Amino acid sequence: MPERTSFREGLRYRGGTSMWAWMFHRITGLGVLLFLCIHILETFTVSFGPDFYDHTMELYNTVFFRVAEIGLLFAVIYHAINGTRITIQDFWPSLWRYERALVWTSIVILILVFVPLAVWGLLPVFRGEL
Amino acid sequence: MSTRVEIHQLDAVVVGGGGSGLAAAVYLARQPNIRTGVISKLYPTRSHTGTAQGGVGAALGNCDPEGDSWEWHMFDTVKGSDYLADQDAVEVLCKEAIDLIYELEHMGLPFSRTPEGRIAQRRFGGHTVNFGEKPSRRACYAADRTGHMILQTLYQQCIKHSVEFYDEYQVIDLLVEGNRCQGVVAIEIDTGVLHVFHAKAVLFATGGWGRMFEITSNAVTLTGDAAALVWRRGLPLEDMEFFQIHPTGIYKLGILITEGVRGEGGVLRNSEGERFMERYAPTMKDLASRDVISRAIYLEIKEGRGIGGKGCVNLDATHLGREVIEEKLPDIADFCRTYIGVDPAVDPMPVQPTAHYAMGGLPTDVDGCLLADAEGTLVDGVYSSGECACVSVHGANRLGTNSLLDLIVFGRRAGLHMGAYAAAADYVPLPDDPAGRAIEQLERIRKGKGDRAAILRDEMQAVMTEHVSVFREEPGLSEAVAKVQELRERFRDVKIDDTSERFNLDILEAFELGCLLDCAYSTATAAQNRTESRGAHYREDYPKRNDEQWLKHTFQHLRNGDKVEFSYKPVTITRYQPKERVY
Amino acid sequence: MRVRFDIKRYDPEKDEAPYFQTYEVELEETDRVLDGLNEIRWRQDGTLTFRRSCEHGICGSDAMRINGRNRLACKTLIRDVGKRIRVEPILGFPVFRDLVVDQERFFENYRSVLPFLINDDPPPPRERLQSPDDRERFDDTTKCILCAACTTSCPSAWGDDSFVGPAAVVQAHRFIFDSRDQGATERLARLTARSGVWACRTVYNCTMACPRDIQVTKAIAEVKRAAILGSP
Repeated sequence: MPERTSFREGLRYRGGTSMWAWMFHRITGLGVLLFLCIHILETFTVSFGPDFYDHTMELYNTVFFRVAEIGLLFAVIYHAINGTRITIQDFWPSLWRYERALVWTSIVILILVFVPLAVWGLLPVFRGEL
Repeated sequence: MSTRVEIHQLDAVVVGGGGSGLAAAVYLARQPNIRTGVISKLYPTRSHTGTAQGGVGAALGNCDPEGDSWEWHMFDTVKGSDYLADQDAVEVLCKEAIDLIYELEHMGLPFSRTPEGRIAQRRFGGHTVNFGEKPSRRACYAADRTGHMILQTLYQQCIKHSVEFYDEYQVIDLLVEGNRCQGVVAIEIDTGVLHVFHAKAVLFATGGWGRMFEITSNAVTLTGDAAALVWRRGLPLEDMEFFQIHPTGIYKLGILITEGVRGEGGVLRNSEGERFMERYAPTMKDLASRDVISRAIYLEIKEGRGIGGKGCVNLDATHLGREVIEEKLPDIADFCRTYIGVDPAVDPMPVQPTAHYAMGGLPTDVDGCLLADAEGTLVDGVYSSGECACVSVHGANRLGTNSLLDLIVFGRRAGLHMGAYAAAADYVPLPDDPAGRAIEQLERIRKGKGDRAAILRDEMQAVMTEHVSVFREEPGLSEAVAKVQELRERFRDVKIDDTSERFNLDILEAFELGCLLDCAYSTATAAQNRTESRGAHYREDYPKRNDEQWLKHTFQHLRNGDKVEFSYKPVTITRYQPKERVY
Repeated sequence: MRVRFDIKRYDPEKDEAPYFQTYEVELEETDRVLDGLNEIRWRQDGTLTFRRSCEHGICGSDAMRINGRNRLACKTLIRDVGKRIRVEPILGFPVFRDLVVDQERFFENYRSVLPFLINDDPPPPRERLQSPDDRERFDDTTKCILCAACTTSCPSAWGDDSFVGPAAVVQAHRFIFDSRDQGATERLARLTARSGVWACRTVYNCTMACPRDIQVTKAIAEVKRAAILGSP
C-alpha cells in the first residue's frame, strides 16, 4: 500500500472553503509560473533578430492571447489577494472565527478589482479591433 | 496460526498502558539499570483512564475554609467502602495522595486553578468535612477531563524517560511456577507473531471488566484479561462480588456523566420533578455514595416515577447556568449535545445507572505484590495495580475520585517495589514450551464451529444485567451462575470468521470474551456466596449488613476449570470501627 | 432504517489492491456509525477490521474517512451522514488492514516536539502557582486525544512526509503557552525547521476534522507568531 496520498485521493477529500481557496492558490500560482516561462522564451527570441521578435509580439495581439492575458490577470490578482488573506490570518490567529467570511471577502475584492480591468482589457475584442 | 515465537528478556514488564501502568513505568524508568517494557493492547493514550472525568481526590484543602485532612479522607473512604476496605491500605492511599498530586502538577498536569493560582477542587459524592459534617471540596480537577490529563501527563513522562513500549500487543498468558514469576506471553496484533517476555517482574494493570454488563461506561476493550489470566493459573481473585454501578450514565448508552455535575450543584429528579435523594439521604442528598444513589434511582423507576415511564431519571443542571457548564463541564455538555441532542444548560439530562467499576480483582498487598492465598503468601515478581487489583482500598463500594488516586498511588508503589525486586532477583528459567498454552488457546478459537462470540456475549450481558446488577437475590443468582457456566462451555467451541494473521480482531475479541466469561463466572458465584448486603452488593433476600459473619474479604480459586473454591481474609481495621452507614 | 455501508477493504495477505465492499445494516438514526461497523463485524462479517475502544470520542482510536471527511466513527451519528455511508481509512499512512493504518510515524512526529513539561527549577513543596488566565491560555490544546484526524486531513502532510503535522504542533502549543514551561526556545527551533510550522498553508481542514473542536489552525498560527517573535 502506498503511503503517499495520491492527487486523486486528495481531491476526493471533502475539505472546507479554505481548502478550495488553497487549491486555487496553487493552480493560479502554477499559471503565473507558466506565463513567466513563456515570457522568458519570448524575450529570448530577440536573439533571432528584430523581425522574428516583432512577429512573436504580434501573436499577442490576437483574440486568443488577449483572452489568455485576462486569465493571467485573474491568476495574478487572485494569488495576490488570497496570499494577503493567508498572511493576515497567520499574523492574527484570533481571526479564525472569521475564516469563511475572510475567504468570501477576498473573493468579493477579487471581483471588484478583476471585472473592470477585464472589461477594459477585452474592449478591443468587443470592438473587433483584434 | 503463526507458530513463530520471539523471546525477549526484560527486567520488568508492565502489562497495560493506562494510568496505573504508566505511573509504574515512570517510576521504574527513574531507577537505574532496570530494563522495562510496557505491553499494551492499545496505544497507551487510548486507555480508559482518559475517560475519567470529575477529579482525583486528595486532602489539599485548597477550597474549603475548614481546610482538609487525610484522616477525613480516610474516614470517608472507609465509610464509603461499607467498612470492607483494609484500613492500613486506605491510610497509605489518603496520605500519599497529597504529595502525589503535587508531583503530578510538577510533571505538568494542567489542573484547573483557584483565583490564587492553586489546584482547584470540587465536591464529590461521599467526601465530607470533619467525619461526615457536610460535603467537602476534595476532588482536584482539570475541567471534566481529569483522567485524560493524567493519562497524557504520565505518557509524556514516559516519553521523557524513553520508556520502551510494545503497543498493540495483547497478553494471552502468564508464566508462573511455584509462586515465582517467569514472564508473560503476548501476541503482536499487527503481525500475529507470538512474543514471550521473560521477566523478573510483571505488573498487571489492565483495568476492569464492565463489558460483562449491557449498559456500561466501560470501553469495549475492558474485558478483565488480567483477572482471567491469573485465575486460570490457579491464583485467587478477591471480592469479585462488588461491582460498582454508577448512578448517572446517559440513558441507553451508558456513557458516564460525571458525579462532578452533582458536585457543582446538579440534582436528580424523578418524573414528578421531585428531588428524590432528599428522601434517601437527608444530609448528603445527591452527593451520597454511588451505591446508595443507584439503588434509589432503581427504586424510583420501579415505583413508576421514571421519566416518561421509561427506565431513566433526570439529572438537572439547568440552574447552574451556561457559563459554569461550559467552563467546568464542557465535555459533558458536548456528549449530551452529540449523542442525545440535549443541551444541559437548557434541558435536564436523562440518566440511568451504568456498570462502572470493579472493586474486586487481583489481591495484592500495599506494594502491589500479588497474593497467592487468603493467608497472604506472595507470588514473587507478580504485581498488580489499578482497577484490576484489589488492595483493598475500595471495599464494597468505591468513592468517586478514589479510582484515579488508586491508579497513581499504587501504580507508583508497585513500580518502585518492582524495580527494587528486579534489581535483586534472578530470572526464573522459562518452561520448555513457554508459548504452548497461548498457542493452544488461540488454535482452539480458530477451529471452533459453534456460536459466534457476539451471540455468547449478548447472552452473558443479558443475564448479568438481569440478575447480578444493582439488586440481587436467589433464585436469580443461581440462574445466572448456571447460565454463565453454560456459556463458558459453549465458548469452548466459539466460532470466528477471520483466518488472517495480521490484525485479526476477530480472534482477539473471542479471546476477550473468554476472559469476560471467567470474570462473570467469578462475580456471579461470589455474589451468590455472600449472603448479606454491603455497599454495591445488595441482596434483596439478605437486605442487612452482617458484620458478624461477613466482615471479611472473599477469595476465590478456580479448580479444574469450573469449580470455585472460597476462602476468606479478615478485614484490617485500624482507626474506624464499623458502624451503620447513613448519608 | 436500512443503512448502506460502502467500506474500503484491504488485506495485505490476500488482496493486491484495496476494493469497496457493501453491507446493509438496520440502524436507528441516533446510532453511531461505529454501531453500524460493530453490527457488521459481530453479525455479518468478522473479518472487517478497525480500531475502537471507548466509543464516545475520548480515546481517539476510530478516526476514519466517513463520506469523504475525517471523523471519529463513534462521534458521528447516522443522522449526520445519511443512509449511504462510505467509509475509508485516513489518508497518508500505510494501511495495515481495512480501516487500520500504521500510526508509528504519527507518534514519531508527536515525540519530536518534546511533548513533556520542561522546567529545571527545583519544584516548590506544594503546587507551582498558575493563574486561571495563564491556565486558560493553553486550555484548548490540552483537549487533544492524538486521534490523527487533523494530521491526515492536511494537504501539506499528504504531500510532504517530513511535515510534523497539525497534531504535533497542537501538542507543542500546549507546552509553549504553558506559563510553567521553559522549553519554548527548543521547541520553536524544531518547529521552524523545514519540517515545521511553515509547511502549514492555513487550509483549515485540520480544524474542521478535529472531533474535540480544538481550533487547530489557530494554534498553529499562534506557534507561527511565537516563532517570528521569538517567544510566546
